[in-house]
Amino acid sequence: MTSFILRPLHHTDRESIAEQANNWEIAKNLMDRFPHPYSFEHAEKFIQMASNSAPVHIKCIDIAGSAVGCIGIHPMEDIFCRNAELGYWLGQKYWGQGIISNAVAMMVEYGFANFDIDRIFARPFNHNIASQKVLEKNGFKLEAKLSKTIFKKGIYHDEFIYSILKKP
Amino acid sequence: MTKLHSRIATIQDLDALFKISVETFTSSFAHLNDPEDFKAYIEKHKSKETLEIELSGKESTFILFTTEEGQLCAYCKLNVGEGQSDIQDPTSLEIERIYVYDNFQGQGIGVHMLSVCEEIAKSKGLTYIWLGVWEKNLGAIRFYEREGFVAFSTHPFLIGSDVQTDILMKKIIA
Repeated sequence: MTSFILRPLHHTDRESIAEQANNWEIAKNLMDRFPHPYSFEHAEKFIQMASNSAPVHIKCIDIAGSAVGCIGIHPMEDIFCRNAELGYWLGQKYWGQGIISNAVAMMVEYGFANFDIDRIFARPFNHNIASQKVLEKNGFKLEAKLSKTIFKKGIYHDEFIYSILKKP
Repeated sequence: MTKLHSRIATIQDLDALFKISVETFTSSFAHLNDPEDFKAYIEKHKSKETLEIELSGKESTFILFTTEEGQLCAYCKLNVGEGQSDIQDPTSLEIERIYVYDNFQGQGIGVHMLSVCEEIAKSKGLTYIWLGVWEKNLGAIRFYEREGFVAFSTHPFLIGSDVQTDILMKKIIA
C-alpha cells in the first residue's frame, strides 16, 4: 500500500487540495458544503477553517508531502455532546488501496483519545458501498437506514448511519 | 477587481474551455493576420479534439477563472516537464496561454492570474515560470516586464505560411 500520514492542514496545501477535491466522483457522496466545482479559493477557505481549532478536528491525508484527501472528526453539541461525526474523502487516483480504511482506524483512535466522546458515527449515502465497507472493516455497526433524508442535486437518497462505541 | 474563483479544468469543462479558447484567440489576433492563414491555423490548432487531448495530458493543466456566480472570464494553460513547448527544464513551469475575455479586461485579472500560476509553480517545488509572447504584442511584453518577467530567448512559430517570433520571458520565483 502507498504509505501516508495524517497531519494538520497548512496554507501551502491549497493547490493540492483544490486539485484532488475538484472531482464530481468525490463531491457526489458529500454534503453540498463541499463545493463542486472546487476552486483554489474554496480550498483556501476550508484550510483556514480547518486550521482554526484545537485539538485539530480535520487532518489531511499526506502522501509524499502532498495533501490528497481529508478526514475529520466533528464533536456534537448539547445532549449529543458525547458523539462525534466522522467524515472523509480521498483523491480518486488513490482509491482502492486501503488508505481510507487505515486513516479511519487512526482517526477513531485519535478521536477517542482527544475528545470527550463515547461514540463516533458516520452517515454514508446508500449507494456509497466503498465507504460502508471501510466503516464495517473498522468495527462500525450499521444502526439505521433512513429513507430519503438526503437531497443532493435534485435527487433523493437514503442515508445509512454507522457507529462505533468507545471500549470501556 | 471582480472577486474571482480559480480552479483546475476537468473534462467536464471541455465545452466551456473550447468556447473561451477560440473566442479569446480570435479577438486577440484575427485582425493582425492574413484571414486565410488565420482560418487555417484555427482549424488545425484549435479544434475541440486537440483541446480534449491537451486537457487530458498529464503534463498540462488548464486553470479556469470564474466570477463567484461561475461565469468564465479567463483561462490559462500551464505546462511542466516535457509538456513545455520549449526548454523543457524540469524545474520550470510554462504559461503557454493566458487569455481574458474582452469585457473582463482592465480589471487587474492578469496580475491575479500570474499570482495564481506562481503559487501553483511553488506548490510543485519549481523555481521559475516562463512564457512566450508574440514580439508584436508590445502591450503584453510591457505588462510581463512590470510583473517581473525578463526576456531570455526567442522561439519561431508558424501561422499558416507566415513565420512569427515569440519572445521568451521568465520570472524566478524561488
